[in-house]
Amino acid sequence: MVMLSERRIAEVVGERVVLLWERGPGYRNGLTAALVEIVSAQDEGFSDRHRRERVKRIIERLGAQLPVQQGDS
Amino acid sequence: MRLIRARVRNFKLLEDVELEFSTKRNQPLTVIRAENGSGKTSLLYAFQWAFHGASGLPAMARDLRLTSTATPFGQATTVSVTIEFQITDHLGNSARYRLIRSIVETPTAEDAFDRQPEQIRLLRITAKGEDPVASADATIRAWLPDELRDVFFTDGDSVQTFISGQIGARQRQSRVQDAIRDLLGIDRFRTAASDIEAAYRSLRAEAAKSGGRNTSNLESMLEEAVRQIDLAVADLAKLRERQANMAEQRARWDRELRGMRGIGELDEINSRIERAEKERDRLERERSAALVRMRDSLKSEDYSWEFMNVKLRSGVGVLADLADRRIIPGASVEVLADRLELGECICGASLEPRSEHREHVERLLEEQRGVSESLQRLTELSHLARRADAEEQRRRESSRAFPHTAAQLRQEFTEASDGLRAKALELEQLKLLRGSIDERLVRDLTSRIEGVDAKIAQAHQEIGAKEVELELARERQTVQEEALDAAQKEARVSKEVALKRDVAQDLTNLAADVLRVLEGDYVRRVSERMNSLFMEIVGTPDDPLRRDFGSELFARVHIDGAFNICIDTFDGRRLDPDFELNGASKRALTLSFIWSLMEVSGATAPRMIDTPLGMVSGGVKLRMLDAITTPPADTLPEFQVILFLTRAELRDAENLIDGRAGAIMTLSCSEHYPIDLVHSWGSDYPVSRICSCDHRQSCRMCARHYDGLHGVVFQNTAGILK
Repeated sequence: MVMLSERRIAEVVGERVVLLWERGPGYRNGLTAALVEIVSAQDEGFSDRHRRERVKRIIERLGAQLPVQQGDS
Repeated sequence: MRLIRARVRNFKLLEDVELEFSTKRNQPLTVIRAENGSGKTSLLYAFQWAFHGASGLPAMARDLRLTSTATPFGQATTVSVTIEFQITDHLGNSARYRLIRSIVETPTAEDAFDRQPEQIRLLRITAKGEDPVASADATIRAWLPDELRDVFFTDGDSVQTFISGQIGARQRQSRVQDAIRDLLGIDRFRTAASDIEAAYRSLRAEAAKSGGRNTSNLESMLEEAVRQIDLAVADLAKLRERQANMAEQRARWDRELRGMRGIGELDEINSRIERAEKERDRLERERSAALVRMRDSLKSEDYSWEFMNVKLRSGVGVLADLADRRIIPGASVEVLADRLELGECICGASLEPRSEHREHVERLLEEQRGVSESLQRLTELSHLARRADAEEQRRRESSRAFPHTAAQLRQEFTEASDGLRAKALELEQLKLLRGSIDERLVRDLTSRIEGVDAKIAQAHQEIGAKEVELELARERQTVQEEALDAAQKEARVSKEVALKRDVAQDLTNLAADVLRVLEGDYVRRVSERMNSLFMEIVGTPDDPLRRDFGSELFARVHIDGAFNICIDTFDGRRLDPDFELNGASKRALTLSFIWSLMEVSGATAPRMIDTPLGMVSGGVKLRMLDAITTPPADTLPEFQVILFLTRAELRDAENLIDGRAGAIMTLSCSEHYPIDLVHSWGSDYPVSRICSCDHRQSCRMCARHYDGLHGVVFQNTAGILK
């Protein structure tokens, strides 16, 4: 995305996910990537329902990875 | 987005114009030198149309022809703009694209035309060729939002009116706010946060619904079942061990008992003695009975017959001899007469009339009538003897015969006597055997064995009961394991949902947090950077050029909480941008705002501005140009600035342009000959073309009569690009 670039989003998110330090870097990176992906997906012009389903899938994917990532701090 | 090159065909007077943009990080500026009426605005519109379609054009231009007014009526002309650019994502991956927007337009009258639908193609350029990108318009909108086209493609007048001009405060505020929200992605983030919040609510409800049974109770029950099984197994083992010990003890006692007796069980011996005695008594009775019967037989008729048998046979013989000698017929007349009358002989033969036997008897009767009385007696005796002999014969032939009875009785007596002797011997042996056993010890051992047998039987029962108990406990264990397994699966599902809910919650919090950062920190950064740039452009208080503004009052510009751009003075006033800012200040403020916003947001879209430096001169112009063309710091993303500048705007800024511009071209229009252009192009219709002349030179196409005033040198070597 040209607007607040994904890199800048990642920077902003990266500053905030320090708060989630106890979850480990894998989780923080996953959370950052998920948020960037969700925000980027806003540009694709899909319906609310479609977007929210997609967000849920992203969250579920991240949730499925979480047990693995919890131990990598 | 970084523009690489572009080609515009048949757009207004731009018959066929090709542009090459500077792509150098340290020279972000591309200059298109063009005087008024040369096609700058057309070129700007061409880019707006290419990226955004008809909706990208200013309202007043949407209903106008795209083709040149010189195009003959009825001539279908293809208008097209091709732009090649590069997109770099946040990971540094770059890709080249080619955008082609075209339309076929046919002028039908002075201001009338027919248009076919617009065609747009977006191609991704790869080493193997060009791959079409689906949803070209949507993809382009993602890179360059429609609502920000005024920020990316604008002109000096628009820049000047961005924060002032003929719009109300609310509209101005909205424009600034929209720019901030769009460039910082605040709305995008807000929608994303809303989507995440919705997903979070959904997952939270799902987690609450699934809940997941607490497995601890089931685990406790299962542990209890396992504990009971362990106890039952231990009890069973003890019982079996006890039973085995008792069986072993019993076997020892049994061996001792058997070893002591040597030959068998005392009770069995006693029992055998008892049975033998009973048998002996029975045989005794049988022998006595046989003896009694033998005595009785001697008193019987049979015995009498047997006893007189010899004498009878002797008498029968004598009498038979007398009869043979005819001394007797021993029958009397009366007898014979009676027999004849009865029709049966004394011998039993039939005496039917005219039978030979009857005739014989009748003759005898006649003979007998003359015999003596003695003979009569002998005859009678003979008859009697013969009857007795016949009777004796019948008895002998029947089982009642004495010899037969006597033999049977003898046998019975003998058997009973033999049995008695055998039993007497057996009894004697058994009693001897019994006499050899220690009956007290036997009784004791037997009692112990009986006792242990009872205990073994009881243990067996207990083992059976314990086995049933164990089996039930195992069944309970199985049931509880299944229940626990189901509950654990349920709990696992619930845990997964809870995990997703937690992720959604983290994302929700994070998005809200980021949103606060964007609306707070980032807006503040934009505000501070805008102030810095603005002050840089207007100059420091001791700068003599500052007086150009006539506004040495500027203390600070900033964005307030309502997204208003505010200008504060040293004397504590807040200026009205509509009435208290001159044109240069307005341009400086708008450019400072746009530049700071794009810098803070990291937006990489090109900034294309037509005649930005109009109404600006002197040091302000230089500082403004310097401010908007300064190469980005290493930590900031690169950007492009494409400025359409007149010779007047370029004047005095040549040296700065030398350093900042990576590409310079000159756009001219044939219509300007002969008034402004030195040379005729020989064109039959008005057309705009571009040449490679930079800000210091001119050629046969772009040379103007007043170039000398701007220090432009004619160089015949410069050429026409298109």
